[in-house]
Amino acid sequence: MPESSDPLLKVEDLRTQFETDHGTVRAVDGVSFELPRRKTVCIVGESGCGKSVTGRSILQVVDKPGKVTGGRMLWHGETGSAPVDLASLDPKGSEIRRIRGNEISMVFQEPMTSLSPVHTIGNQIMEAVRIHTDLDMAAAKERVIEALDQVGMPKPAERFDAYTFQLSGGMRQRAMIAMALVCRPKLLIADEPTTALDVTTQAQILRLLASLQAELDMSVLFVTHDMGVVAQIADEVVVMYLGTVVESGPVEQIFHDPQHPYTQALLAAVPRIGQDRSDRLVTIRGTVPGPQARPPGCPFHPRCDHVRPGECDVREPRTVTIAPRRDVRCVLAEDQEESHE
Amino acid sequence: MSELEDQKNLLEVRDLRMHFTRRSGMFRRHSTTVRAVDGVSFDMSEGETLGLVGESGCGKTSVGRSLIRTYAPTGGQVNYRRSDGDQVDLATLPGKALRPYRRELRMIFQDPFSSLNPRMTVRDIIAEPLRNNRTAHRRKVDEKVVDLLQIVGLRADYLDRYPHAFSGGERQRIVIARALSLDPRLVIADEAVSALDVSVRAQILELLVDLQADHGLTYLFISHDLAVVRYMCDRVAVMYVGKIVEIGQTGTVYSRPRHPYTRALLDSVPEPDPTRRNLLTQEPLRGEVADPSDPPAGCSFNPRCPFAEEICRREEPELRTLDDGTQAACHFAEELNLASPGGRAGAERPMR
Repeated sequence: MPESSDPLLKVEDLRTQFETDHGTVRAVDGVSFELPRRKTVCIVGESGCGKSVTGRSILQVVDKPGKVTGGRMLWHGETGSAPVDLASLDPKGSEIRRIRGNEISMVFQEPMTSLSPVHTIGNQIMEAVRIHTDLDMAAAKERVIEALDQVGMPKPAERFDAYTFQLSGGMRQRAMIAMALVCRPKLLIADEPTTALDVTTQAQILRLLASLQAELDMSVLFVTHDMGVVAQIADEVVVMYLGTVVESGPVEQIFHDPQHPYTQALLAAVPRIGQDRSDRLVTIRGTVPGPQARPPGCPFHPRCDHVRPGECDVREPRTVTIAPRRDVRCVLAEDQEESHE
Repeated sequence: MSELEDQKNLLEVRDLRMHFTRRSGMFRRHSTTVRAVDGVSFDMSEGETLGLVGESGCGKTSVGRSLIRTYAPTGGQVNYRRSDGDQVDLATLPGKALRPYRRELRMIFQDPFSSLNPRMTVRDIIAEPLRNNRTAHRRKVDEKVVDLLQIVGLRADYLDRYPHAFSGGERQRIVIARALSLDPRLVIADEAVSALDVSVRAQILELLVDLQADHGLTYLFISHDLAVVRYMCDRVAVMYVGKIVEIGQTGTVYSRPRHPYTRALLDSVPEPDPTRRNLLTQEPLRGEVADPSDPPAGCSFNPRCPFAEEICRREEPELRTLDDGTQAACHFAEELNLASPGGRAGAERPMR
């Protein structure tokens, strides 16, 4: 069955750049990964690594002056038909607008900036339904109330007429998820949707997303900086640093057998519950460089404990596939590959 | 334990209250009282790190700000032991008399991007408190600033740069250098690492640990991040809707919480281990944090508590000391067994 084994989305060598007065910022610089059907893929990394821009590039909603400048994003929304290359679509064209909010939708970190303060949440959600379906007003409203109920909003019929300022942070995030899911998308892109929330609310929202994913048979691309959240929800993980994918693979392998020095350091820098000061945290020296000061060669080499002068600072490492669905972009992985041959 | 008894407490907070009056409506006729801090008591001994955890709106930041008198507490005492051994109540001291203590109690804020003046150089930012308090001769000020930069791990040639030239982690180092400039005794760190990336966060945490050892500092570490608090703090206080619901040794509280809210908080922390998916396998805490201007009757946590009984809706539980030294404000603290995730009611009280 070749068609069902096709990934829902295949991103190949994606490049998104921002032309600024101070030069070109390569926010996403050759990113490749696959998004299998009905799976959750987490993109994880620190600020400035390009994880959010990657998510936005898929929908062609990158903030100005950013632009998708290269690569392919093969969207296989309908099995049996030929995939659509999202990178080739006009960001303002009708084709991408048919997909946006319908086949692929997105939720953001800060619900207050993505929801309108002057419209009721019901009317905002209904707008999406009216654009993408031919339901009449009454049927559309019913669909919205159903969606609000689905995301655990108490008294959904009453909340239809509520404004965002009348809702708590957790309830706003639920409203945004309802808006994203009302058209039954095949892919949900969630950009740090729980970062602004308290831990108990975060737990509620993550659990909600997991159950909705199973119910609606969708894939989720989850962008986060929190390794704890990744461990909880991911099937596969893409670790990014300065616009590149340094390592990717199934979640158990990333956590229990990380290969890239950056992934290893990132995992060891998070205190685990139960760890006290007798067991010091691993620190990564230096800081993430600014977008204009991208180091040559491997972008992580100035902070890496395994750096090889004359090699890592000169050339970019190759991406080595060390196992099925398991990529590492490091000279250490190149060595291992050579020793196997 | 005898060591602790010999030590005199640096700070004894008693029944601290910080109520805000909010006026609204036409001619601002309606007033509601937000009980941000509502009867908080705790001690801090010299050299220890006390963690203050809770969700947003629980009053943890208001406690910190009341201690340094950014807010004037509406009730209670903040008894501070001066270096000569005498105690003063900072809560009621008038502004002028407070000045000498302002340099002994310093605060580190969450956001290093908004807590530094963008128009001042690093030199001026760090020197400002020194000059204002006239603690050092003018020529000595520069030496001291260079010393401080080194202590927090920044190079001296950064002195004349402006904050925008620094990354988040470096800015937080500047904030720490400024806080240390007057040789404080108590440092209140309010979400000091929450805005930082993980790789940088570890650096700052380790810096705070080292500074404490070198300078004998006492920390009040305010955070919503339970894993960081476990790592940093000797003792921990858990706040919910303006009150401390549990306080004790960090290791004891984390391994055997005595208040159902503490258990729920711990259960909400995503474990960084894909083979232990605690968030998806456990029932999450239901409901939302109570409104501090209109808290429920009885125990504030009762509408969300899986173990709540009739008494919880009627009587407010007092914070009381239990067999292992932990203090908890729960009617059933002795009966509940909350050592494992989710917790369970005692044998005599089947869970409903």
